[in-house]
Amino acid sequence: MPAAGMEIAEEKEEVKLTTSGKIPERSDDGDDATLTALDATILRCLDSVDRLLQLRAALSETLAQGWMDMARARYAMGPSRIGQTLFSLKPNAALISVCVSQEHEQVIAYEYGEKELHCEIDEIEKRNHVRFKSIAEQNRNPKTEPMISFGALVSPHLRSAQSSFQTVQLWRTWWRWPMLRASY
Amino acid sequence: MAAAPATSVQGTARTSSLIAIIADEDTVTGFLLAGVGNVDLRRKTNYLIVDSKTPVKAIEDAFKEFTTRDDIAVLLISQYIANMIRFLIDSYKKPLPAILEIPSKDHPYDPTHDSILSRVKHMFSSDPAGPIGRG
Repeated sequence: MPAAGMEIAEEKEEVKLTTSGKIPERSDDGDDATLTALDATILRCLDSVDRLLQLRAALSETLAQGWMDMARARYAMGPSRIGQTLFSLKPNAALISVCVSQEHEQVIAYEYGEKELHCEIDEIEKRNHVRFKSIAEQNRNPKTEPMISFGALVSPHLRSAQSSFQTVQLWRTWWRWPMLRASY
Repeated sequence: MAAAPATSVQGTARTSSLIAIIADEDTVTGFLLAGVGNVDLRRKTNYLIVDSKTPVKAIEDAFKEFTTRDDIAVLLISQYIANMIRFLIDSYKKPLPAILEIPSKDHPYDPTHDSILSRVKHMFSSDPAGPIGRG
């Protein structure tokens, strides 16, 4: 499913280009070439929208699986063991953060804990022909495992729910969707 | 909370930013389990739990706060909550933080409220008026 999510960027870029209202310039060959180009553009747009809907459905399925696992965990552990009353308000840094390109104002990569997702950085580097240095750890707040808030012994369903929501986070290119929306 | 920019060899700077969430309790719990939750020294969090008693004003204030913080790059918001503050979201034009509407447990994703899909629908429809209520 993360592999499917990684295709979202290309699909949404296609939608952006084809729904921006731009019409190819009229060629010297006349109307036929223009109409052919328009047809090709429309087909690409429809394919991209179809793919987008498929990925949205997959995302909903992943979230639904997470909610189902959480409901099972709540049933097994008791309703008081999983809820907002257990959220820690001690200073705590997020395990997941996103890298934002200041130049292009877009999300470009993920960081999970101390680890950069190098596969994504490599892809971006290849595509944009830029090189990135490692991000130095700036946030001095401690990073703790979120599961600790719910006790030492937790239901395996809760761990499964955690895995589902982490899978959603791994859809890095999913973040390009709002950039696309803002571009309108 | 945002990291100082790290500059690449070719001069492309980037910052490390947070993901904020405005959703129901189960969705927020799930994303906190995934490691999205952040609490700073002033006990300010990057999430808001919305229930039946949450006033719309509180949602608006949270949305404005998250979209003006410079340490947040992405804002996840449940679609049914986004519909409560649709006027605010439609008037939001900045690329960052990015707003992403997600389904909730009790309210499945509704494609008719998706901005890009409604534009595509308008493109292929015969109605010259355009998508109703959506920019």
